[in-house]
Amino acid sequence: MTVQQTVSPLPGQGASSANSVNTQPPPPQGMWSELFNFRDNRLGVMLIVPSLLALILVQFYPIVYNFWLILTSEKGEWIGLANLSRLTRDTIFHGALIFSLKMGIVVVPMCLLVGLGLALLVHSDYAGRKAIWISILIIPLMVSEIVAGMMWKIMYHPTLGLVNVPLTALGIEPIIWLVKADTAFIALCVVEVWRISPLAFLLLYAGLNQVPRDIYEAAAVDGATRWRAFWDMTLPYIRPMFAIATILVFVWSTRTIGTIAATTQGGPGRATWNLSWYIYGMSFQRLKPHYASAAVLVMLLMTYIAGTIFVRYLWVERRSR
Amino acid sequence: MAEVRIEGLTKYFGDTCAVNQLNLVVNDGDLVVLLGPSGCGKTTTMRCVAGLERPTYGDIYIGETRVNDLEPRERDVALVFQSYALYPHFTAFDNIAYPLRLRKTPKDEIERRVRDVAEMLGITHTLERPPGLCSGGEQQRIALGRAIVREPVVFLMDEPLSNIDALLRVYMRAEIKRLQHELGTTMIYVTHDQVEGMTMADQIAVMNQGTLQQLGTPSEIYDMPANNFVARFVGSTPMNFIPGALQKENGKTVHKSDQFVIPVSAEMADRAAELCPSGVCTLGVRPEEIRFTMDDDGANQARVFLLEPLGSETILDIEKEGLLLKVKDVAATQVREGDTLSLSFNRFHLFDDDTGAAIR
Repeated sequence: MTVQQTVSPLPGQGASSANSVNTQPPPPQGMWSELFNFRDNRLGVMLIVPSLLALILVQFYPIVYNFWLILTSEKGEWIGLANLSRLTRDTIFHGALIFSLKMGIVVVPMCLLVGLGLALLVHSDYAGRKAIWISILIIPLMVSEIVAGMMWKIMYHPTLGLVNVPLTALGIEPIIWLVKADTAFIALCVVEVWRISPLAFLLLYAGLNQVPRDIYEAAAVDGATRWRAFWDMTLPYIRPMFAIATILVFVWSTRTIGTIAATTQGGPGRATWNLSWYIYGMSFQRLKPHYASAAVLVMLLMTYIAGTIFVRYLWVERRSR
Repeated sequence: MAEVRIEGLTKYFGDTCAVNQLNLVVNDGDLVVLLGPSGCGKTTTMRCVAGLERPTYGDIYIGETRVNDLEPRERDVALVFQSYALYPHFTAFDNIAYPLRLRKTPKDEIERRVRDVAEMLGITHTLERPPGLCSGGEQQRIALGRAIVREPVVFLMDEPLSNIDALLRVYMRAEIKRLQHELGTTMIYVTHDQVEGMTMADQIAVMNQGTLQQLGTPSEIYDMPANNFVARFVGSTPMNFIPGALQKENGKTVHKSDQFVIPVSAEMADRAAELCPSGVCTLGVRPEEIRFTMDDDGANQARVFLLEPLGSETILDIEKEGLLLKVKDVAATQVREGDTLSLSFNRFHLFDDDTGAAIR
């Protein structure tokens, strides 16, 4: 892309800038040497050192330690990649991994849809007193996972639960939600959507607030219907927020553990084991933290890969035509 | 191409009346400037024509169609916003092409028309860039291109030049006027800059506090202001106002103020007697209509206290007993600060103090 091009000179312009072309000094050499010029940025460097240390302590140290755990056995012997190769044969782990991904695949789009719908509603002119709506809608975010799980467990109760009340009223046999594998999956997804979609709502609402109003007016005059303007203006504009929301919802929904602990405890059988539940059980019940660390690495990679994909395909500005 | 007819347009925002019973006809192919200070209702009027605001009362016609109930997209008008309102996530090309895409224009025709318009406006080199990487003047022309490309029946311009630098503004206002002449499309142009209004308009509609003050050609507005608001607002060096009253002196009518005694023609005196029986009126005179001589024995003497040289002319700030007058000196006379001049008033207007209306 060429940024420097000749613009048809206006009267009075051009001449003054032309004669200074050959006399100007060369541009500075590279950003990094500027940035790490200690003499100029002494205060800046000193200011970031404490946070850098804290970051190393709480971020890099655990990750490095995690690799150390993977490469050694529970007895402290060096075993190389044995923990990882064992994971590839572990069917319980496979089940947990697939359950986590399945959960992500169902929960992420649902949360984004619900969040976007709520954000559009609250952002519209029909919603007066937006602050009240927002504070009501984000209550699920403030409830801890365990409490949310307990609450929903009661709601899912076969005879007393609110969920079955309308079913029994219609004469349908009450569903025993948490006892069968497929209904337990649906039930857990519902809890997660309830719990996480306010996060998507909050981010997308913030995104909507950044869309300048005048481009909608321009689009209306240019001939766009409201629906067209939503596709052409709103969605592209909130893409970065969509990417952030997608990543966060994915991470939140795949790593959940409190909800499972409070509702199914991984059951029936191992039908609702997800990665977190697997890692927790492996470290603290089977007491195999070194082996569990290998699963942690897989979870980390999964999040990283998903995050990269979302950023690449959602965040990056569209420059096509 | 179409004429725009505004009949009894009234727009309330809550209890605030932004536009009050406005009647205005914009002839087919005319460039009409809505001129007035901030908050005078000019932008609201234009937004009602565009369909972005719904009139509280009154009707708007574009051609023969009453458009009150039509959506903006159904009115076939193009609007250039003060903020340009370019689509930041599109390239300049896509910005200009967007109205055509919405009309399902064939791809090669879009390509051709966008290139033509870009060429006409001199922005071909910006087409692949998003507007954020273009200069203010380029953005302004992209916005203009987006309006031109679809060949609407009416152009609406909402202070399109207020965000670009002074030099470019002088250039662009001529450019817009030329474009409008070439395309022959009806245009309503909103501005608070009276120089823009004077230089561009076929007709100027001066507005204040939601009401139309005067509609006329630039020279009518300048030479025959309907009231003291129009007189005050139009003119780059503002008109001088001398409060006083009409009196008979030696059988002739004069305008007598604390500072000056100015003879009034018999014809004007008759009109004043009819229109303003009390005789209390303010005399308004443009800076270039005050003649002066450097003798200090004539009538109506006053002292120069400041010179404002503008190169081609000099503005003399003249003071007498608390009254300030600005006088244009185009002849490069050797007046200095502190000199005493005697003034004569060549052409002037009288404004009734009660109504503000011009007496003529």
